[in-house]
Amino acid sequence: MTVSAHVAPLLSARGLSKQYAGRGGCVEIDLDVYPGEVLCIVGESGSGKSTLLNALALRTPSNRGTLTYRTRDAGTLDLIGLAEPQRRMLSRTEWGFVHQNARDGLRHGVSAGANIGEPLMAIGARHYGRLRETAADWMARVELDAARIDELPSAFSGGMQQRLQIARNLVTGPRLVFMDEPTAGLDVSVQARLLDLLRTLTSKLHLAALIVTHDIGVARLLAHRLMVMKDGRVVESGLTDQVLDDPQHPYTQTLVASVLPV
Amino acid sequence: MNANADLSNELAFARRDALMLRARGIAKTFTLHQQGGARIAALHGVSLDVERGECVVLSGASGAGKSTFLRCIYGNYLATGGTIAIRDDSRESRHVSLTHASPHDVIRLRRTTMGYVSQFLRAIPRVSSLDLVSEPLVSRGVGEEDARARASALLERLHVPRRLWALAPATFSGGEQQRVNIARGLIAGQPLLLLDEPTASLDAENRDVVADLIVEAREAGAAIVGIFHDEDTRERVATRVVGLDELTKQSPSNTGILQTC
Amino acid sequence: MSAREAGTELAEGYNFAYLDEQTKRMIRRALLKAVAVPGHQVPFASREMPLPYGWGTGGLQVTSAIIGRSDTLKVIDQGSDETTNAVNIRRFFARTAGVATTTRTADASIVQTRHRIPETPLTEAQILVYQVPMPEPLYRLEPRVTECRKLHALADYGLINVKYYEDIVQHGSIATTYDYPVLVNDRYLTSPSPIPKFDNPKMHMNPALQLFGAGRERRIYAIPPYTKVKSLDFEDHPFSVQRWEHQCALCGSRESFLDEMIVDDAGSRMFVCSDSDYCSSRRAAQDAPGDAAKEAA
Repeated sequence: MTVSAHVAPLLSARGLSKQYAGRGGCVEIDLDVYPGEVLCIVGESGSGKSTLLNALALRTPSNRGTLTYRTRDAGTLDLIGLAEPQRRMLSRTEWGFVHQNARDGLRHGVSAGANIGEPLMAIGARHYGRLRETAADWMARVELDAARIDELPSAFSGGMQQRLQIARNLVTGPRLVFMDEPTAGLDVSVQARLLDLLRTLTSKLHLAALIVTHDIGVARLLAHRLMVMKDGRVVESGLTDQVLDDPQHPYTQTLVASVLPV
Repeated sequence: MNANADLSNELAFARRDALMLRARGIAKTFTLHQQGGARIAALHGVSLDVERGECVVLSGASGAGKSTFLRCIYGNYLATGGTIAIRDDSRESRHVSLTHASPHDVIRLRRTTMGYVSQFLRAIPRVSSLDLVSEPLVSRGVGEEDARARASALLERLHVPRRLWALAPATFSGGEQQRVNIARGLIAGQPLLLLDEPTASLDAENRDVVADLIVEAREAGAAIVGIFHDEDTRERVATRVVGLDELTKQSPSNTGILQTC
Repeated sequence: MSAREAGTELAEGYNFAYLDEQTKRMIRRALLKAVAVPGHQVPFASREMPLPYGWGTGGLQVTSAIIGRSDTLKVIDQGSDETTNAVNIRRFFARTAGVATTTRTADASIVQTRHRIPETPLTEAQILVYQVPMPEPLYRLEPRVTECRKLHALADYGLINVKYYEDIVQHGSIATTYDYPVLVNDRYLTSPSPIPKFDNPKMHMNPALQLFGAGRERRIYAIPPYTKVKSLDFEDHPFSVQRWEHQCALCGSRESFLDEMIVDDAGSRMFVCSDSDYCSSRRAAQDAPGDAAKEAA
């Protein structure tokens, strides 16, 4: 099988900075996310990783730098200074954003089925029966009991709410999903199941994902590539197995050495 | 120096059709910041060419750096010096420089060209052994049914009991884990194979099966670099046995660094 | 109740139609904007009226801004000309503008209405003024005003479909029976005011100008004549209107919106046309069909 031509990155940042009154945040970030690849941003509290994620997902404006995204059919977009309607359209059709806390990513007054169906309704789906079928299908895919399609999110446990959030994000077939600590705060066994689900979905759906986490185990399990952040800057990046097996930077070595052995 | 190296690589890959791997002057020094910056030099300038149909077995004392060398070729370790070039006929230069490749390119290379069987099975938890073995095929576009069938056949050949196929390897014996590992590493038929003690925890019968598989791969045109401590296996699979020190050229810049194994 | 002559009740000391001329101009400017962008809510500086908020101050202000000496005004409240509100508002304009008033839809040039559209079809020469309590159709789904404005600006109306989806889940059908949101001119999601959904189809391609005033919420919007107005639904749960098994006990109509009245302590029920003028016209035509023809001649 001949190797295909060099694939261009989906999302590219150069010199991206977002600070708060000149302090904190993230500084001078260069990164590329390729189609079908999972990139984990690892760092401890205050490393600037969440700020970076929000800046990349256009949830907060950056101070400096460039940011571009290669769309499905409309060429490459300059994301800095993108108009609001286009930003919303992008968030709806090509991107997903999974919040750390499922509460922030779900609509709590409506049923699970409505939550999963809403992104489809937002882009014009108008057939009740088909919406329901799609919602039930996705519930099964994220290992939720589809018979519970009419229950409110509050009837589900934390881990299940997180799966519901994931289904709600993936139903529109996005190419790039941003995840902010998707397993934080969940019980260990629940985390494990969720990670397995994410791993399966990202590979089956050929999703590109940008995952922020403080947990190296999550990175090892899910990511092809890894970026280590400290004090707002990237101190090391590379293949996951390389960064974890042969860390170069002192901070990375500290992180790797600090992981509790099982 | 780089330009020259590139040019010589390009010529080499152009002239020698069977050349798969060209490592030149590979050095690796670990800097342990946690231990006050202590430096450990593991490789001092290893050079090796491997052609299709070759199985080069690295010999040498334990801790001499053989594993380290393999890991550098695979991109698991970052070489601190030297170049590694691997054949890539989709490019004009007919090779890819691993040492200068972006992580994204290394991922692609691993998917298309390079396979690695490590000593220890570091598998993703909670995935069945059958899925583990079929995954390399699925990720290359083979249909799931077909991939599963081929994985089953290989597991069968390696005498992995059928009842274990649906289970995750975490609870298997060392030998069983190792056989799953080997199956996963060999199933996709990569043109360049890096094998680190694949038969370490196997009994004689299973060692033979693995040796057969390696010979088959070799005869199908794979280029193989391996580490085998077992004499019998070595004899069966190797076309060449070399010591790491033979491959290492002493250069002035290497002396003076603390050497520990 | 028939027509009243103009000028018979005119009170002293009020500007024509109560509001000062500058205010009327301000409201007319808002109305022009509203007509230019059908279904879009235009803010306006709602004035203090001699009527508390929630009793029709918006409709009152719109009528006051557009009414002229030669107009004939009809005021209905849930179809009736005879409720306290309808009577008071009609008298208000008789006293401050001295205009002619009527109970007959066909004779009116302006009809101010609370919560119903007259059964009698309107013409290009007529204006319908709606009293609107809550102009924002997304109010219950998205409480943030800033977010609602963005949704309207971006025509981002998926949310209303979420509500309908939930309705079907819980009730088997879309549960909204009045104030059923409509999409005006394929662009803006609009609240038609709390008219029964039965009346929604009348809004579509209506020859009359439809103006909406919400006094408490300070918004004005409009649907120009012959504008497309569509009630939202799902493909497999299409919009449908209410139907009765009964006919009007007074005029026999099977096409109009019927009110159910409990007539005695035993709980006996009677169904009667909600639109009193429509009902009485039908009865008049039935009693003396020959006379009606003579009148017309």
